[in-house]
This record gives sequence, C-alpha cells and structure tokens, in this order.
Amino acid sequence: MSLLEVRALTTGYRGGAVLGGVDLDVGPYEIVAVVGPSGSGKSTLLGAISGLVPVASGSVRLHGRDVAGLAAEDIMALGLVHVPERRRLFAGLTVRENLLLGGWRAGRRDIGRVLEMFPTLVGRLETPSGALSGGEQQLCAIARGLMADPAIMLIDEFSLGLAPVMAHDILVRLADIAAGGTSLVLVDQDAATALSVAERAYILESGFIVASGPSGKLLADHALLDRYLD
Amino acid sequence: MPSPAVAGTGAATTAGAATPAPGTRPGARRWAAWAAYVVVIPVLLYLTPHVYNNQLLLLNLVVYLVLAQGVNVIYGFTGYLPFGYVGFFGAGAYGTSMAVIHLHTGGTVAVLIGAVVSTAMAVVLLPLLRLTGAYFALASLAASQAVYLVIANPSLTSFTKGPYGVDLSRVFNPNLAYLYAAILLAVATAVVVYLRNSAFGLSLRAVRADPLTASVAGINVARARGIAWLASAVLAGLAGGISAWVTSVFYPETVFAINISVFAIVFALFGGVGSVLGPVFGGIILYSLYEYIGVSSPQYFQFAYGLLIVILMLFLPGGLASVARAARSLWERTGGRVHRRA
Ligand SMILES: Nc1ncnc2c1ncn2[C@@H]1O[C@H](COP(=O)(O)OP(=O)(O)OP(=O)(O)O)[C@@H](O)[C@H]1O
Ligand SMILES: [Mg+2]
Repeated sequence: MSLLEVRALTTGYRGGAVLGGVDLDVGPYEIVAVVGPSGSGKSTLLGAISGLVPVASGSVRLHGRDVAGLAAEDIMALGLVHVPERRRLFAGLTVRENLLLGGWRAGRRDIGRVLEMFPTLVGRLETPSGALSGGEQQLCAIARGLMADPAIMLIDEFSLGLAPVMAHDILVRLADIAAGGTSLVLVDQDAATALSVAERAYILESGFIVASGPSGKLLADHALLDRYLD
Repeated sequence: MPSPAVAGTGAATTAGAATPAPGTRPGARRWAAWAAYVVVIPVLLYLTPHVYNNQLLLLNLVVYLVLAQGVNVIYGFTGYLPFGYVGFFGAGAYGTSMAVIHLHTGGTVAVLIGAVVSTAMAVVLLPLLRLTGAYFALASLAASQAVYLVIANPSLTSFTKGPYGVDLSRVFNPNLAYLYAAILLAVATAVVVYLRNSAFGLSLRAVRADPLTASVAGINVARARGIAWLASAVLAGLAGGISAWVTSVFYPETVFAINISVFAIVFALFGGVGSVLGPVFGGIILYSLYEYIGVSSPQYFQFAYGLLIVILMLFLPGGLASVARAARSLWERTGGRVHRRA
C-alpha cells in the first residue's frame, strides 16, 4: 500500500478547471518530484492534496484513508505537511517561534532535532523570520515542517531563490530526511534540480500528467524534456 | 528582567538547541514580573480615588483601559480591527439593565448577565470573521449600529425602554462597581499575558501573520480567531455592564456611541497592540490628555483621534511599546559597549 495515493483528482478555481484527473503515488522513504511549466497546476495539486484547495472529484488517500474534503489542519494532523510556495514563514515571528508552530499540533516543543539537521538556524533563532535570506527562509520552512515529524512532506518551489551551494546543501539534507522516514514530494520549475534528487517524477502539463517514471529515464528523454520543460 | 529579543541573538549560539523558548516558557522570575504587571496597575488605580477624588471619572478611565485591552486581544492577536466593538459594550450595558429592570437582580448578577448577552451577540456575529480588512471593520460597525437601532426602537419601549433610556439607580453602588472595574482590568491584562506567553497565543499570532500557512501548520484558523473574538466580547460586555451600573441613567446612544470604539482603538494603537501594558499606558496618557484639554472642545478630539488612528497604523503600528522596546535595546547595546571598554 502506498503512503499517499491520489486518484483521478480534479479541481479548479472560479476561473475554470486546473487539474483534469491526476493520479500520483508516493511510497514510504520515497522522494518524488512533480515538475512542469509555470501555470501547469503544480501548486494547485499540492494544495488539493493538503486541503488548501477544495477537491472537485477524485480521491486522496493517506495511509489508505480518504482525506479529500478534510480541513488542512486535520490532514496535517494525520501526518502530511505542506510547505507552500512564497508565503512560507510567519514573517513577524522569530525563527524559534516558527519552529515551535511547526510542532504545535503534534505537541512537539523540542527544536533540537531539527536544529541538528539545519545548524545554520541555531544562530538565528531569535531573528524575525522575515529578516532571513531567501535560502535561510526556505531552510526554516522545511525545518518547521519537520517539527511535526510528518510521514510525508510536500515542498513547493523548494529550490527557488537558493544559491547553488545552498541548493546542493538542501538536496543532501532532503535525502537524509527521506531516509529518516519522511517521504517527500518536491515541486520545482527547475526540473533538472528536482530530478537530480528524486527517484521518480511526474511531469504535469495543463493539469494532466503527461509522463512519469524513474528520474533517470525521464532525464534521458531529451525530446520529452524539450517539449514540456523550460 | 531578561529580554528575550535582545538576549537571543548572542546567547542562542551558545545556548544550543534544547533551551526552553523565551516567550513560550518563561521562568519563575518572568512569571513574577507578569503577575506584577497584572496586579500592580489595577491596585494603584483602585487606590487613586483616595488621592484624586473623582471616582466616576476614574471608573470611566478603567473601563476604557479594559476596552483597550479587549481591542488588543482581537486586533493585536488576530488582526481584526473591530470598529463595531462598542456593540459588545452596549449589549453588556443593556443586558445588565434588562436584568435589573425585568429580573430584579442586584448589580453583580446583572453585570454577569450583561456579559452573557454580549457573548451571545459575538456568537451570532462569528460569521463576520470570514470577512477581511476594511470589510470586517465596516461590517462590525454596521452590526453594532443595527443592535443599537433595535434597542432604541420605540416599539420595544416596554422591554428596552426604547429611546427613553433606562434608570438603574435602584442598584447604584459605585464603590463596588469600581472594585469590579479594577478587577476586570487585572483580568483583561492577565488574558493578554496569557496570549503573549502561551502556545495558543503563538498560534493566534501565526494566524494573524498568515492564515493559509497557519492552517497547513495544523492550526484551526476559524476556531483560534473565534476564541479571541469571544474573549474580547466578554471583556467589553463586562465593561459595558459595570459602566451602565455606575452611569445609572442613560440612553441607547450613550452606550452605543461610535466614539467608544474609536477611543478604545486609539488607546490600544497608541500604546501598542500585541504588548501587555501598551494599551494601558496609551489609554492613561490619552485619556488624561482628553480630560485635561478636551472637555471644552471635544469635537476637535474626535477628529484628532480619527487622524491619530490613521497616522499610527501607517507610521507606528507598534505604538509606544515599540518605541520603548527600541529604546531599551539601544540602551542595552550602548551599555554593553561601555562595559566592554571599561
Ligand atoms: N487562487 C487562485 N485563484 C484562481 N486561479 C488560480 C489560483 N491559483 C492558481 N490559479 C490558476 O491555476 C492555474 C495553475 O496555477 P498553479 O499555481 O497551480 O501553477 P504552478 O504549476 O504552480 O505554476 P508556477 O510554477 O508558476 O508556480 C493557473 O492558470 C493559475 O492562474
Ligand atoms: Mg506554483
């Protein structure tokens, strides 16, 4: 049984349909990438899974239980954390407060474990999170998500705004996180970066999965990459 | 008292990972400081009539300080600016009056019934929290005026006394009312201390910062906001009841005057929302100014306070409290430099 099982998922906004029936699976210890051009519906897909965007039809099974239609905070409590794009942190709050909020629902207040994983944050604990650099903010957002010790974490635009060194740093860390038991779904416009760390990937185009498979195989298919990715 | 904001930057590096969070788990000494804030100012205010013999004016001040803390709870911790806040005050005042007139209760029970009425009103108005920004501010104002119009309606005269006003002189007891007002201020301040230091308060600040991210962080946004809304309504209802009890004879427009909202908001903003003592000091300063200069020409003050709200929100959203914090951190930094040189 896969950890997360999405079937025939459709949704949209007032402007019209955005997802036209998406299937997606994530197993334990897995890193899965969802890539595709801007506006293809990647963020909408993550939102529909995490409860931020209402699901029109289809199912989202987490640990075998259909969570489509549940409130975001209840899906989170079942072990699925979403790190949304852009608006990642609580800007007026300090890094420490952000981290504490990540463990709020689960009742976890020990920030030591995630600080070991992200030592750069140790010296920044009392800094208002809005004053962090883009890369540090991304680290903090991921660290906050991990505070809940989720079974699966969805990270939107995870490499956006990161200096190459830092992106590399995070990639290494992501592998550790997955090995530690938190499966990851990475969304990125930069397909090469996402595919370099994910074992499998889905290519989303105009709300449909147009290709999926092991990252290596997708990366080798130049015709496919040229057609769907920038 | 150690300041978490200042101590953190330097200390965190050495303190390591497992240090308890300042602001979430204060030590015994910090709790003692908070307890002093909660108790000392109300006690001082309670004793003031012995030196400044105008209990009615002081009671009015304390009532405003409670309202300013109520605004602090709802605006400072959730970001909802309640221009209709006076609605809860008026509902409390009229709930109290109806209890005295129709149920023949004493003052204490009547004030509690007033709070129940204002809380009920807040429950009915919970859907307003789905609105944001200016829409919420205006809708809450409209709601408070709707309640006013119902109460002042002449066809309800047999129940609410309509536009002719109520007379509570039968239960008049200003000394007891003043004691309650002082206690209520302590309670209101304690509520803010709780919000500043608890996990629940942190979750409210998260909701204020970004409701969407808060919900994916596992926070029930509607519930958190609703609790703050109800808490602020209880405070305003009790303040309205106590105020009615002492005012004794009043009219619907007395207790539903939009000025009451404006004053409470301006006191809170001036002192600094989100802080524990800001609204109290802001209220004491501006209220004294008003009483000192404003009695002869109150209309200018209404204009000035309206202007002050705009200026504060634009240029000093943290109010006096933020100025005090900045001054303290500057002082501690320069103090540190002198120390190193010596
Ligand atoms: N809140 C919203 N209301 C209405 N339409 C929206 C909303 N969010 C996204 N859309 C629309 O849905 C479509 C998919 O957007 P989405 O953000 O999911 O794409 P994306 O693949 O994440 O793009 P990007 O890579 O630029 O982040 C777009 O056409 C977008 O305009
Ligand atoms: Mg997106």
